[in-house]
Amino acid sequence: MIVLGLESTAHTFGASIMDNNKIISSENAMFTTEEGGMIPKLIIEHHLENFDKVIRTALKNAGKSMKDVELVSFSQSPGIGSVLQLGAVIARSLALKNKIPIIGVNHCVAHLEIARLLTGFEDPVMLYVSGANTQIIAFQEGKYRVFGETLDMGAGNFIDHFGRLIGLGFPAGKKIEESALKGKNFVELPYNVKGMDVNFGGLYTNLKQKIESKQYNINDLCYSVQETVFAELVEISERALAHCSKKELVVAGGVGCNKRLQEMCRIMCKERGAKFKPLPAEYAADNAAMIAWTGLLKYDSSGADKMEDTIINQRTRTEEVEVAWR
Amino acid sequence: MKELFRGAEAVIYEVNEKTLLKKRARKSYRIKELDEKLRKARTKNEINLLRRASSAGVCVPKVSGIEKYSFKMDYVKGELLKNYINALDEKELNCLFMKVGRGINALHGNNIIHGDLTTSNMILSNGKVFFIDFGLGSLSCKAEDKAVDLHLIKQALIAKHNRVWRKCFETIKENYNDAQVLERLKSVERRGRKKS
Repeated sequence: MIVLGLESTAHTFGASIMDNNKIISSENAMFTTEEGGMIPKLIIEHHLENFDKVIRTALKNAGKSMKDVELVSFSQSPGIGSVLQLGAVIARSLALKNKIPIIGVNHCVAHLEIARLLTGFEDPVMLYVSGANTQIIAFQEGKYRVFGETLDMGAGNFIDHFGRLIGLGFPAGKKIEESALKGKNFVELPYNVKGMDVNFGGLYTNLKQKIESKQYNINDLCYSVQETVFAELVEISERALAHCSKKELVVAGGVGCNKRLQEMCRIMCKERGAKFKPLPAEYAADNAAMIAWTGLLKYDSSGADKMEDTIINQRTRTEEVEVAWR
Repeated sequence: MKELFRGAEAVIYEVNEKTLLKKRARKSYRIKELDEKLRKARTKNEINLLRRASSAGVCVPKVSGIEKYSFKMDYVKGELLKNYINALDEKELNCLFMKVGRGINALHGNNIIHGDLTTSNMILSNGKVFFIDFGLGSLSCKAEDKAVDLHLIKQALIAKHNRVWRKCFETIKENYNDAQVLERLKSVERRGRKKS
């Protein structure tokens, strides 16, 4: 079955063609900016300008046309309202015009499903770290459940905020990763883990004061921020592995592309006899292949959505999603 | 020494039939400075909390043999609550969680915040509920911290024992005396991310 997946929840507009469990093409356009972070209005302008090209390229690179597509899958929740709405409108239009079934999927669950497909892991714990989301998710009693998460901001959001304090544009993660390699001295920072939860608000305030004091080398701060934040994330991942008695770990989300975070996950898993596989960067970050694949899983188990059920939801929680395919 | 259990941050060894050793092993994923600081502070903190809980009359293992990153304690033999709950009927659940609620009440009454209240950290032994692993605990008299502690056990019950969590948590609340904390819990829950 040929599926067209459309991702539109935040900064990335993506389109992907899958033929059953094979990714034939996956294209995306990502909103970036020098200052101000993610502004919904600007993201909409960006996606409006790019969606047609992205979908056409995905079809072309797959050697397919809209006539070959048998199912349209789109990101229905959660995300920025207007951005989700845009994706839904595009998906509905394509489905109606070409008379093909439509299906809406949850973005967070999609991250986990593509990770399972690409790593071959049966039942992993997922550390999902992106801008808005920082969650530890595992499958238990029929649903994907959140075992731990951030109590305030997402780790990526925090990293971007920190980036803005030191004058970096959006997204700041990659630049901070580079600066961190030049950092030598570890600066002690607040370390906030509560059970399987984390929070970053106090750390942000502390860093703001440190930067304003001009007493600290920026590279050292980048290095210390990475070491502290990632140690927290790996610690809660390990606690979830122990608590759920699971043996596999995957990391998804934009922050999951960070090489140091991946290295720390690998070491932790090795020390406790668990398995870790990193995802290729393009499938760790937001992508449309995960939407296509999850749409297919959902379609195979419970059929297409009715058009009136394709309303978007900005705040669906991961544990609310029905998982009929597992 | 036989390794009994490898948790997230510490390894439990069996010294003999009556004694366990809890050792915080080096985690090579984090840098040395951070690793040593966390292990040392957490070991010291945990010993302190266990002693306080014990003198407050809460069932916890008794501490002995203290070192920088490790300490010895009584071997509490029994069943972890997480392996036990899903097989119980309503009456048994009620009886069990009454004990859990009273235990948490006594801890909080003495300003001991457990910090990781899950059913993996409670053992039923000779009809008593023992609380273990105070590694993430702290001392605090704030209603906020106590409410967050209650929120943790609620989340853990929802995630791990979804069919019976309401009943279990209700029983805990019935056996919890501080109305101010229960009131605060409502605001902690409203604060949760993306709850409508």
